[in-house]
Amino acid sequence: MDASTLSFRDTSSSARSFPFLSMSAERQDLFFSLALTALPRPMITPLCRIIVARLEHRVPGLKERLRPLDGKTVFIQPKDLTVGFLLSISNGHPHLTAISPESLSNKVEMDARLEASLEVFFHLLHGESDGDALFFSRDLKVDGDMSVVVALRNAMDGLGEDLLKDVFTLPRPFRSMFSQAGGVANRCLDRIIDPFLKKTAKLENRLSKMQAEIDALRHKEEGSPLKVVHNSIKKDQENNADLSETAKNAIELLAPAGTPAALRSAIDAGANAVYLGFRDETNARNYPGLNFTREDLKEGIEYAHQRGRRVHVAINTYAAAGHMDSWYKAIDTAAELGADALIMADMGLLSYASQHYPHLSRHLSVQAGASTPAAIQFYYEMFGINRMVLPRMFTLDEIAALKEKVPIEIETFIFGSLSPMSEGRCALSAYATGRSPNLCGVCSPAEHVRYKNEEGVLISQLGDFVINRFGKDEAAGYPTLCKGRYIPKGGEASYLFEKPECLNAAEYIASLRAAGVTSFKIEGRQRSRFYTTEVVSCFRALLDAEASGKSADSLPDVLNRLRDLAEGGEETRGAYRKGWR
Amino acid sequence: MSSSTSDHLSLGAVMFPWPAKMLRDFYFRIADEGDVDSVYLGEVICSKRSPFLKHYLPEITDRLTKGGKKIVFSSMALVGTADEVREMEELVEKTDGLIEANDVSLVRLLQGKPHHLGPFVNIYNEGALDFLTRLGAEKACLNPELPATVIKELAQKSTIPLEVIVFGRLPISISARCFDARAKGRTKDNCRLACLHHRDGLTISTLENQPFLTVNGMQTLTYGCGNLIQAIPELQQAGIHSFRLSPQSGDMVATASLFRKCLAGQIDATEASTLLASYHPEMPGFANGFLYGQPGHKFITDGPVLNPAPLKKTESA
Repeated sequence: MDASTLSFRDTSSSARSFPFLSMSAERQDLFFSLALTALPRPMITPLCRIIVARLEHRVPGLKERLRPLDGKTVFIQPKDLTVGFLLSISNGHPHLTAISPESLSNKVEMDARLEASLEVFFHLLHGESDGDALFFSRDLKVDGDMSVVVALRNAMDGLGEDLLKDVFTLPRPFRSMFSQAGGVANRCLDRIIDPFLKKTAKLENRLSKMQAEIDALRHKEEGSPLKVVHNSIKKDQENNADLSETAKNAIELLAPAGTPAALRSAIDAGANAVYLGFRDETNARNYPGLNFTREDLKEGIEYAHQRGRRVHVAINTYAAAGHMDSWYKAIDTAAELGADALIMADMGLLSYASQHYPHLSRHLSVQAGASTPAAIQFYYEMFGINRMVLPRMFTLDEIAALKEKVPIEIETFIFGSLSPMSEGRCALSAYATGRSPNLCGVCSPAEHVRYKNEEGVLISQLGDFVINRFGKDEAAGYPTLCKGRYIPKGGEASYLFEKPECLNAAEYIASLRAAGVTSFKIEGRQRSRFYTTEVVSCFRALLDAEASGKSADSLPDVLNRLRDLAEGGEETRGAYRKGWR
Repeated sequence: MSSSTSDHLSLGAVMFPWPAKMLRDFYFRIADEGDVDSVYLGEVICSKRSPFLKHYLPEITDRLTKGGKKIVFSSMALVGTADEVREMEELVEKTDGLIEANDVSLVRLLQGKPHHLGPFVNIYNEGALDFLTRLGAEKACLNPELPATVIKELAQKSTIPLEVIVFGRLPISISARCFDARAKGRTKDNCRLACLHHRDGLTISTLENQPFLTVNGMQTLTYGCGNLIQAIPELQQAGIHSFRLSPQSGDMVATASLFRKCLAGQIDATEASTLLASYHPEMPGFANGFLYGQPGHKFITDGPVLNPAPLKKTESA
C-alpha cells in the first residue's frame, strides 16, 4: 500500500476507493492504534463519534441491547494510550468521549472501569476473544459495578457481529453525514499521516514476512491429523445434512447459547443441539443482557431446525409459590414454538409439562439434585423424563451402573465450570447476597460483586465478604462463592470447597460413551460467543477423532485452545476421577 | 388462626458429629425435660457417623417414647454411594414408625405410605407440594432459604401442616465432597472422621478473618445461628403452626421452653432473643435474613417479615 491510497480527504468518493476497505482487519487495528497514539487528544473525540455513529447505523439491534444500561457510565482505559474513553449510555445511545485519566478525578461518576491493552479491546470488539478468559488471565482489569460490566459485555457480544468490521466503509445515504462529521478528524489525520505511513509500512512488511512463514509452516503440516480434523469441521459446517444425519446415531454435542448470536455460532461450529433460557428468572443463568425473548427463540429454533439441530429450553429454576404462571407461560411458549426438549428441576413444573405437553421431551436438570439411581428413577416413574442431566458428582463407574438401572438417555458435562455442591440444594449465594440459583436463577450475582485492585493484588468481594485475593501474576476467578479462598478455624487459607478451575473431561470421551452417555454438555451460557465457538469446535474435533479411534492426546492443539478458556487458567477432571470427593 | 395450644414444636435431627454418649445424654434430657412435641432422629449428613446414634438408639427411642415425644426417623440428605442407598432401603423396610425423607430417592421408596418431608427436599411452590402430598406426605419442613412471602403462599395452599426451622444454624448446602476432610488435606474416603470434635461445626473465615460460614462434613451451614423468634406471630398468622428447633450444643431444653412461651405469645421478642443468646454462648450471633428476602447472614430486628414488597415480576417469556 503506498501513501497515495491512504488519502482521507476524498470522503465523498465511492466506498471502494476508500483505503480502509483494502486493509485487512489486523491492518485496520494497527492503523487505529497508531491514530489513537499519535492524535492530539481533542481530536480523538470526533473520531469516536464517527465510529459510534457508524456502528449504530450498521447494527440496528444496538439500541435495544444497550437500553438496559441507560444512565450507566463506564471508563475504558487502553493501557498503551495516555487517553481513556468515557462510555455513557442514554436511551440506548452510546456516547464515547476521549478523556485523560487525570482530568477524570472526582467530577465524573462512573459505574465501572475497564483496563487492558488496546489490542485486547480490539479483540473483544471483533468478537475474537472471551472476556472472562481475558479477565482470568489478568489481561483485562475490571473495577466497580460488575453488573454493568457484565450487561455491557453481554449486550455487545449478543449482537453477534464483529463490531469493528467495516467501521469506515460507508453505505450511500450515510456518506455525506460522515463527510461533515469526519472532516475535522480527517484534517487531523492528514497532518500526521506521513509519519504514520512510515511506521505502518515497516510493520506491515514485517507482518507479511511473518504471514509467509506461517503459511509455509501450515503447508508442511498438511496431512497431519490436526489438519484433517479441521477440514472435517469445515465439511460438517458446509454440509449440515450430514451432521444431522450422523447425529441420530452418534453422540450429541450440546452447546450453551446465552444469546441468539451464540446460538448461531454454536450451530455453525458443529453443535448437534443447543440449550438456552428465557430472559427472566425461569432459567438458572438469569444474568443481565443474556438469554432469549419469545421472538429470539422463534428465530433460534428456525435457525437450528433448518440445519437439522435441536433446541433445548432450560426452565430449570424453582417456581415461587403464588407466581407459578410465569413458569407455566415459559413452558407454554417453548412448546408452542416447537422446542425439542424442556430442561426442568421443579416437580411442580415437571408435573405441569407432563400433563399439558406429554409428547415434548422432558430432561431432568442437574438443579433437581437427583444423586442416585433411585432418585432418577423417581423422576422417570413420576414424570416420564426422557433424559437425565447428570449432577457433576457421579464417577465413571457410577454412570455405567446407572445406565443399567434407569432406561433413559444420559447427558453429562464435558467442559465448563463445576460446582462442588449438590446443585439445586445450595443457598450459599442467597446467604451472601439474598439471591439464589433456585429462586432467582443467579449464583453470586454481578450486582453484588466488587473488585479492588491494590498494588497489583486483585481482591474480589461478594456482598459483605472477601471471596479471594489474587497475587500479581496469579490467574484470577469470578467470585463464585464456593470457589473462594477461606480459612478453616485452626487451618490454613485454601480453596476449601473448590478451586476456580474448569472441568475438561476430553480424556474420558471414550469411557463416558462406553458407560452409556448419549449427550455431552458444555457449560457456559454466561460466557461469550467466542467461548461457545471455540469450545464447540474443539469438542467437535475431539468427538470426531474419538469416533475414528483416536484419543484426545492426538489433538494437542485443541487441548491447548481449551485450556486458554479455562476459569482460573486451570482444568480439572472433576468427579469423574476418583478422589474428587 | 393462631391458637397456641394447637401449635407444634419439634426438635430436628442433630446434624453435628456428636459422640454416642453425648447423643444419649442429650436425648435422655430432652425425653425427660424437653418441652417438644416430636423429635426427629437419624444421621442426616454422613453415613460414617451413623454408628454414633445407632449405639444407643433403642435406649433413646424408649426414653423419648416414655417422655411422650412423637418420634420420626430422618433419612440422609444426600444419598450418594451404593452403601448409602442400601442403608436407606433398610431404613424404610425395617423402621416401625414415621420416616422423614430428606432426599427424593426416599420419597420413591415411601410413596403410598404416610411420611414426612424434610428441609432437604425442595418444595418452592404449590405444584410440587400438591404432587408430594398426593404421594403420601403428611407434613413438610420447608427449606430455610424460603422468604416469608413464599412461606405464606405455600401455607395458604397446603393441605398438610408445614414446618419452619426457627432456631439453629441453618443448612445452606450439601455436597458429595467432605469439607472437614479437605480442611485437613484428606479426601472423603480417607477422612478419619476429620469432623469429630466440632460440636457446632467448623467455622470458616474469609481471608480478612471475617467469620463467614460453618462447615459440617459435607454440609455448609450459616455462621450466624438461625433465630426467627420475633417472626413467630406473623408466621402463625400466615398459617404456620409447626416450628422446628435445630439442635446446637447449648441448652436446648431451655430453648424449647422459651419457644413454647413464645408460641403462646407470653414473651417479648427482644427479651426472648437476649435469653436465647444466654442459652447458647458458643453461638456468635443470630441470622434471619432469608425470611426477609435479604442476604441470609443478616439479622433483621425491625419491621414486619411479610412486608408488601412483591416478588420480582417476570418479563414475558
